[in-house]
Amino acid sequence: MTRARVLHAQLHLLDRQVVHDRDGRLVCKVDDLELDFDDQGRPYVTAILMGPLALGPRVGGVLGRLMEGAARLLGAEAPPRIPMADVSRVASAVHVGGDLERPALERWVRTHLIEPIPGARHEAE
Amino acid sequence: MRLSDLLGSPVRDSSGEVVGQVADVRLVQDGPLLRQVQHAFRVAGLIVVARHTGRLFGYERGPAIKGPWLVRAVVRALHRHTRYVPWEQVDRIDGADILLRVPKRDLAHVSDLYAERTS
Repeated sequence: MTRARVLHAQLHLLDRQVVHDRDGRLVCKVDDLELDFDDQGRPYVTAILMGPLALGPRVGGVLGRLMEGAARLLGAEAPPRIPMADVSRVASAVHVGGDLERPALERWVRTHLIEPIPGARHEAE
Repeated sequence: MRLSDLLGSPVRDSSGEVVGQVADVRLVQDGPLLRQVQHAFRVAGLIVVARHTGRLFGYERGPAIKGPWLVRAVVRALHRHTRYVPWEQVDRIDGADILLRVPKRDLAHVSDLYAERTS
């Protein structure tokens, strides 16, 4: 049996680029990790957290609070998360599969700016 | 809980003495199965630094440890106070503080961790 893989969270995961496997799209950076406790009370990583609500508390201070406030103004309540089960490979970038939810700013621009444009809901002909 | 709740947290030993703060968290992929396809990354232990800078760049774990003796000596000297705390030695998390169940003198040196990994 091969030995289990060892990573260091700060050194190998935090602030790494996340790449979507299907189309090679750059998704985000790893802003924080979500931990849960198993039956023996030991924590394990359940998800990658991204966006200002994850990065803001890490940055801290006035800048961090500004980032969080701006995200909440745009209607974000919790940081978007990518379940660790969707992570296919951790190399110089973190590769993920699955469907991803849209970031708050992109969702806000879509509903408030793009969709009111006449004809925006139709597909290009 | 979030990883950032652990990083930078002060660590105290069984007598309440401050050991340092968490600079990094070691993850091993042998946790519970996720969606029956892969094991989760489990928190195996904490790398604790005594200094207040709080951030490491990996020299104490990387190829520098096997490098020329001068590099090795410098890295060893710089990290003589850096400790590795397996999660089994963590008693509980009390607010922002992480309390250990062992005294400071029983904590392993971070270079012991590397020696164990290569063996």
